[in-house]
Amino acid sequence: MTELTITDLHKAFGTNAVLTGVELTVPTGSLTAILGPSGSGKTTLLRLIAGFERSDRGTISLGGTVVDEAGSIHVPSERRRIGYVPQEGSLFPHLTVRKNIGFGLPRGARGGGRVDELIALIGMEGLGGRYPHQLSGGQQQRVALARALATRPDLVLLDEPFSSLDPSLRAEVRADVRRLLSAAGATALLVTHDQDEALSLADRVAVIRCGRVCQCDTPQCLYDTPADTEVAGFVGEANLVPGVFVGGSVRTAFGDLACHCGAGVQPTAADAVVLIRPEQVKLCPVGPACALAGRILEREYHGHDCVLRVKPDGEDGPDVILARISGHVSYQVGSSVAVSVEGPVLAWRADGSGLRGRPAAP
Amino acid sequence: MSATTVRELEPPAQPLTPEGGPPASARRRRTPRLLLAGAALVGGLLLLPLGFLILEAAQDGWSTLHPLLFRSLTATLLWNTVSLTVVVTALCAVIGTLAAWFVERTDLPGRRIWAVLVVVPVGIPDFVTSFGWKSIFPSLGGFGGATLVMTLAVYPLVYLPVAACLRSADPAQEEVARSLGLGRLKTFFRVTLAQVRVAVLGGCVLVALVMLAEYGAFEILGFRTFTTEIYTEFLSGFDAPAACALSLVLVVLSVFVLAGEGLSRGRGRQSRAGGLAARVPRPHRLGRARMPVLAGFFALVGLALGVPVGAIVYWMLHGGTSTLPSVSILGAAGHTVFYGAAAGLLATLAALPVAILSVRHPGKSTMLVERSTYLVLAMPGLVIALALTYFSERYAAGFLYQSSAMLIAAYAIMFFPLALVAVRASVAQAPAGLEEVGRSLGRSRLEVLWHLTMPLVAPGLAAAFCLVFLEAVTELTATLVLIPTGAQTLATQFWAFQTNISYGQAAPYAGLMILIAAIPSYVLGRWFDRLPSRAVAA
Repeated sequence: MTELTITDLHKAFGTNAVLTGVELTVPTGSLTAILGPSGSGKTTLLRLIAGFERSDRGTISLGGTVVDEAGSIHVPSERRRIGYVPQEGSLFPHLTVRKNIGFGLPRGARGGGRVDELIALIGMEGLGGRYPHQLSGGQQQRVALARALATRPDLVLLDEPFSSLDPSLRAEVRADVRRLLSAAGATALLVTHDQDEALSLADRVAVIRCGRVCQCDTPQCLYDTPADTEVAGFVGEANLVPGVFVGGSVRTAFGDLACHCGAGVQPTAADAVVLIRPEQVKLCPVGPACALAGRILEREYHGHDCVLRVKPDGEDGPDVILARISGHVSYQVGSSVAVSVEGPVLAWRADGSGLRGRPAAP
Repeated sequence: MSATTVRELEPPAQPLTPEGGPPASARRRRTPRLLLAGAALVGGLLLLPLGFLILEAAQDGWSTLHPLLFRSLTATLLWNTVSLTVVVTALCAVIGTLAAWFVERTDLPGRRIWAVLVVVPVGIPDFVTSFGWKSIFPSLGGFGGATLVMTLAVYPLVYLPVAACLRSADPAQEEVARSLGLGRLKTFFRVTLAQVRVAVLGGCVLVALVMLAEYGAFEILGFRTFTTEIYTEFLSGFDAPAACALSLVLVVLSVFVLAGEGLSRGRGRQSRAGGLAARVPRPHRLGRARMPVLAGFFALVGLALGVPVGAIVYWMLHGGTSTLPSVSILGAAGHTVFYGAAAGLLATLAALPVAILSVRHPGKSTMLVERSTYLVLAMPGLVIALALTYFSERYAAGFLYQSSAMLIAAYAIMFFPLALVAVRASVAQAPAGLEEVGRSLGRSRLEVLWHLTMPLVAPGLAAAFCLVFLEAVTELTATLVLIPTGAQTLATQFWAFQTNISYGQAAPYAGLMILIAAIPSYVLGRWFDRLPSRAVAA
């Protein structure tokens, strides 16, 4: 079943076109993330769904009912049965936690069991009488979510709800939100510019770019088979190296690599762009015959793993390769290594003709 | 012209959207026509007195005004007014800034008590301070006397913004300067002063505007400035062209003050990465300077607060007789409260559309309306009162002249910029985002207005009302011109007794006036104290 369907949505502010034909469906019960860089229009999309703005063209349907159709239908925000969690939480500063959570409930229910239930759900028993400024950032976000869930909305919208939190707190609140949403059985749409957050939290991720959705997939599909090089770089660190298609594989400086390309079977000898994720790059001190020799330029140690920048020897090889290796193997900057790649890899036609979902050239 | 003076007193604005997309303001719906029309109407009404003044000047013609403008009297008045304004402003800048720094940043004993005592003189009308000094030292007067009295009466106008700025300024900047090898004194001059520069300037502009508009204090001290001369011309048989010419010069001077502030502000802005939660700085040790500084504070408070309050108490105890008919002090208090409250209500209501427009729908037309309201700052109360009077006399056959309505309207116009500061701060307390959340939770527009917007905005509206009320209660000059026939306020009755040298009769009126003004001051103080926590919570 589909909770939210968006077709051909357009929105401009003055001469500034923000959304240019967004297509999106969100299945019931799922958590979908809208991932995009700053200024890509993701917050505007959320505000249109919430009913704070009117679209210029296209339709938005919630649970099978059209709530926004440019020029004819605009259901006001309060009748859309949505929950909205803004960036900063936006708790009502003059109301206690209890009253904030109960704000959307009918008059009789505001002091009752539903509020207690939600306070218990967010683990803030005993704090119901506090005011927002007496809460930590994480607590504020949990209350904001409880407030949105109180009326049992059909769809919950979250606008970068973790961006104002400390990184150390973020992971914890993120897990809480995931738990709360699934406990409530809610359908949720989350806006974020943090690919890590989108991949780890969501069931489906819609990448938005230049005002339209360029790929919507499960996190794994998105990471393994991004539609194009830009999406590849946006959802994770990516080495893009040149190659040539040879039968079912692709020939690169690292040898012939198995290719599970999303672009279908390519004619032999066509130029290719090959995506090699850093964790596919293997290093060893002494090189096997097929490995490429290189030198370590920089080392970024993270504890659980370690990211190395490696410069392959020779003039015509790839420029610099990122490699992610286990944290307990130690390489010194300046030492020589042998570089190999563990396939399969993803490859596109270098002339762009094999790319999926690429927006029309302007 | 700059509108920055009054803005200095505002709490910090909402942070900008971190996204690179269209700013929140651009996402908002188009400016509602009705709101824009309301704000434009308010802006237009505020500019009426200036319009009347210019109309009057045009009617008289250049040939009439020219000899009035270019006579030796004008030169004398100009010299008196400008030199006194410059000297007092400079003294206030030094005293206000130093006092604020000692109270906020050093281990001065009794800092909390000093912080209150140093500000209290702002609640005593300047003409009462002047009366206090003159009644005890009858020989006081002239340039020296005016400098002494006015400095003591208005230095808190610099102290207040500077102290607020020091409280919120980042103490780490001073630490960085020290770590870069600057000594204590160099740090003060190159870092601390730079941090409070804008606040000092804002305070100085307020002082200069007050100096240009003051009448009562100078009249008591026998020091001739533009305002005393304009009032004399007004009394001596309504010499409209002469008063008009002098008023024009006064308005031009005020415009210079406002414009000069805008130019000297420069481009430097204080910015700080990260959150607003500033550490409380470790106070500087005064060491051997402690005793001299403490003595300085005793002297300042003794002179600025002790003398006028002592004089009032002395004269109340020692009574005296008067040849003037005795007037019911309660009746005068009733008038004072009524006019003040009505003006407070009117100014607050008028400020609402302008404030909503400027907070929620910033743009070119909004800025134009907002800027035009700041022109009122350049209009001394006396000039506003006279402009309204002339208009009523000339074009409306005395319609509304010396009516309660006109007096209340004059107050509302005079103190509109103050009301706007508070109302705008309060509208900013209820960002549109909160209303959106409220509506997404299924509550109607009206319910959201009643349960969310009103509770958030109401304290600020009350503050705006109090500010205007406070100023109107202690207003003298415009009241003298516009007071309805037969009515007396505390200020005018005090003035009548004082002019008659019936100090014993005058004192209770001054005392009651200060008491009435003290109540809203207390409310205001509490509101401004609560602001930061609420702003952060929002």
